[in-house]
Amino acid sequence: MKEKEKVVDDLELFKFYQTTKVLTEEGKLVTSNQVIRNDLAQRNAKLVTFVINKFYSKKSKHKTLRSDLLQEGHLGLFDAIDGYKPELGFKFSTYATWWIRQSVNSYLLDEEPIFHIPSHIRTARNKLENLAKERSILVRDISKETLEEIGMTEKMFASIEAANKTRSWNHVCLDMPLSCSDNQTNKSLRDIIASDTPDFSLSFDNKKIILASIKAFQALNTREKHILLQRYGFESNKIVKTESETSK
Amino acid sequence: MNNKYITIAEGEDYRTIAAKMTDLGYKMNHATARNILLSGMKKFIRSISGELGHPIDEDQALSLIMRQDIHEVIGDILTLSIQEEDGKCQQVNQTANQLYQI
Repeated sequence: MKEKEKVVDDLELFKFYQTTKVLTEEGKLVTSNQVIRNDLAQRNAKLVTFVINKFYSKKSKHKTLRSDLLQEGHLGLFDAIDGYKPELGFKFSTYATWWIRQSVNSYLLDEEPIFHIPSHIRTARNKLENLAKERSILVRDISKETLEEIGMTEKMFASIEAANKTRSWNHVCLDMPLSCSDNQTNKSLRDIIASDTPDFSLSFDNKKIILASIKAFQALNTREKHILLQRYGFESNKIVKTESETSK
Repeated sequence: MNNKYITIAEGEDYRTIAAKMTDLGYKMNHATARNILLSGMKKFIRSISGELGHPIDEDQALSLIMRQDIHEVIGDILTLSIQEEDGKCQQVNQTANQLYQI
């Protein structure tokens, strides 16, 4: 009985929440009543836990990321609250489950690779992998005809193959010490890799550098001089003034 | 990455600079202050490296001014130059040595 009352309450609240929404011409949400939104999220918070337990509890990775997944699930729940249309007659839980799963899936996909792969490529890659699994073949053996069947262009297929290559790349941190013995000297990979950009640490004559920098500074216009000096905390008024005085 | 904002340890932020410049009679907002600073820095770096016999092009200068360490070095060079200009160069050689041995 109590549950029935709650369902009625929820529906009424959703209907009222609908009236508080301000939408753009394209139908995007601008503002809404945040108090009701939070209330609805609190009422349906258990749905997130339910979805996470049902779909994301088997793999060990999901277990370790559980609190993150719950947070992402709640973000999905907020999206669902914003997008739900009670007048269509579907239950909120049916609609929200998809949003929660979408939000969690997107987080898990983002979490995985070090190199970013766009979501449309990831989705297409999953589609291809599932197809290859069904037909017991490798992804690279999928024929052009099959690609046409599922509506995928060759360009997209090439992008997926390029994305797959990043999986086999070895990731090395630039700040990683070169070897255990080098820990004392603190030398890292960054120190020995050549750079394309010119190195200012070359041993120039100090006096020469200072004279060159004075000359360079004088070549700037007044606005640039003021801003450059102010950026480094100098009182530009005094310095730029004295320069103009000396030039006079 | 095309990052236009770099944080430095000491000095003013762009909004304060813009306010000060407006007071000085150069009306501008924070974004203008940033753009002028970056273009000034680019000129400054190109001019210095040209003077030292290592000319760099526009793109190289742009990639240099996007680096935090270069901003810090420019700050040190400016400090040294101003001290030199003022005739207060007691510690110039010592600091410059430290700076260019890094």
